[in-house]
Amino acid sequence: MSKKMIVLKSSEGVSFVVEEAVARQSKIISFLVEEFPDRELPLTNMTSEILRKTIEYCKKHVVEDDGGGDSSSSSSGDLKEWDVKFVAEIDQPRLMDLLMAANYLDIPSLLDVTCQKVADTIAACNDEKEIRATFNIENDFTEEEVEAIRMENQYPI
Amino acid sequence: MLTSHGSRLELLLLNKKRSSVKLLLPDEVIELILERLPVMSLLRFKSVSKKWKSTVEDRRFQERQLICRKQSRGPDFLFLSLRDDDQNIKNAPIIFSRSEKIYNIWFRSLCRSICHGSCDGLVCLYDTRVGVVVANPATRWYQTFPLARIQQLLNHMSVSPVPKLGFGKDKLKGTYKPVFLYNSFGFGLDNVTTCELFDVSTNAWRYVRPASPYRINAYNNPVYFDGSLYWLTELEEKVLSFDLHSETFQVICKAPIAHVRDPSSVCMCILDNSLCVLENNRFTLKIWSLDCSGGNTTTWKKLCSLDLTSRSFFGECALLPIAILDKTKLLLGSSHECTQQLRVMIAEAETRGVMEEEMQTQKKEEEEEEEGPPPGWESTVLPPPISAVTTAVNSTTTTTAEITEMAQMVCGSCRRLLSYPRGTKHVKCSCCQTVNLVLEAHQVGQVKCSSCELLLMYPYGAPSVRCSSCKSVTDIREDNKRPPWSVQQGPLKTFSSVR
Repeated sequence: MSKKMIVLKSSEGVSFVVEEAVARQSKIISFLVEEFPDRELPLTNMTSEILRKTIEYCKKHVVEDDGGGDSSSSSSGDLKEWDVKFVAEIDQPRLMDLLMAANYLDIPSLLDVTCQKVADTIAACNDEKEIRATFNIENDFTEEEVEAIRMENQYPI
Repeated sequence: MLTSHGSRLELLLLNKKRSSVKLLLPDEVIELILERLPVMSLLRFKSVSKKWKSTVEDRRFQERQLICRKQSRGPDFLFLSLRDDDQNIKNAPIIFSRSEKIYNIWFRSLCRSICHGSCDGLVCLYDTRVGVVVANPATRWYQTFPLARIQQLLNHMSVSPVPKLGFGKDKLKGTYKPVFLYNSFGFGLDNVTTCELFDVSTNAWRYVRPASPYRINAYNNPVYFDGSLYWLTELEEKVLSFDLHSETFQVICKAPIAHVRDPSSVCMCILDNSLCVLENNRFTLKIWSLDCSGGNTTTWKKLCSLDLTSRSFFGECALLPIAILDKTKLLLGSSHECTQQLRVMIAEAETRGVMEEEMQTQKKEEEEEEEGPPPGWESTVLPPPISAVTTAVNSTTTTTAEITEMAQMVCGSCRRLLSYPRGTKHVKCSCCQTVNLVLEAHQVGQVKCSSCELLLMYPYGAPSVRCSSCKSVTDIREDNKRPPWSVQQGPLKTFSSVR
């Protein structure tokens, strides 16, 4: 049985040919494929690197979702482990890009994994200054306001 | 020189890219990330930016965060111990299986009573001197409400059992309501029962009329489930519900038990998202769950029945089921009244009618072994040193061969579970330093005290026994001699045959 292939184009103009089942994990692509069959889909806000990563994730997950057992079907526990490893290998800026890609393409499971990873990073931060530095967030509080928030959190029990 | 310059350029580009990415991060994505953080982190990191602060303080965000945290991990169990001194005991969570965590937290409070169960992770404490305290153990936030009228009355009279407080949430309005429901008779009040409810909007207690038309089982703790509080009625054993939004009472059905002689032996709990009634006499614990799937008709389904006879050391504490883990294991807890020590245990039993094949075979085995020991238990005592718990759990889950080498007993003084190599004569408790005499099942004799009729245990073969309660000495003769405990119990079964 020949599988239908879809062509995705990154912001640099690099084309990626993927199986339809793989690409359809993205709700946006799924929608676009139905609207515009047999057309190259340009993803202008995504670099080749991020698109490659996204496709790698989708490929891994499509095998599992088939559940046919013909290919390397591993348990959901293994898949979770793979997910953890997958995001652990990505550095902070690329993780943010991947998160954005997952959000844009609407891939719920990838969005979940990346958000969790970012949340874990935040939880591991010691104070708000570290978070601002890591995520490049501007501090729009005055020193007094920060102190007021800190006082709020001091419950006396 | 060139390379270092190059890498700096790269770094600059990276930084530039970072900031551009950050600016693009839409609010909903930030919220998605923040939803996954624990409450304490959120409170601490409100000071990151105004946007973060407003997000964290948004009520809808807080609701989503609660749901997200519930879904992303197994349930957390919290055991609350109250003390009125400053001593700070820190307890690390204990992980039983997969992601469930059990926390034992000491709370410094003057309150002496705790509402059973929790609503959105909040706990409710009450006392006739303090009033009612609602607290969030995650943040240590709390709010105190004034004394209810019944609490003021209780300051001048002693009643047993003391009226118990229910705590729940009006699901439509999202407001939390503490509710007292008690039988009027003992307090010289009109009507069958009296109901008092704390209204947050007026910051005062008010009566709910009409209250329940039936007297309630005063020994029961009310149970909160899905927008309603539940009680059992006295004598006829009906299940009474109180809708926290409409504030009306309604009898929803008859309980699966009838003619209960001891009203303190029945109670309700929530297991697996359904209301359960349990009967706990000293020998068995039976649990029924309410099945509402058939539309208007409600039926009781027997969830499980646990044999408690050979677990004599749990006998004196009331067992309360807490949750079903992995669909087959029942998590039970009990608190020893004297030592205030908490015990958590897991009973493996057939807990549902619908099971996988593997479970069905197990069920059959259990039915055949009705006279035998109960299904495998894993037990541990809280608060424990972590290493002690892991060994206790390990020793019960390892193979049969290893189990014969290690044995367990309960300290006669502090009731901590002790492990010892089989064959040992004496075991010194690591906690209270009491030296316990080891009696294996085949060495335990039983006799009734000739003066006070209390059942006594003694090393089998001893000529006489002094009663621990009335101090009189009973001689062991042929007419009052019983076979050893092991003979009464039947042959000792190994773990593998039970599983």
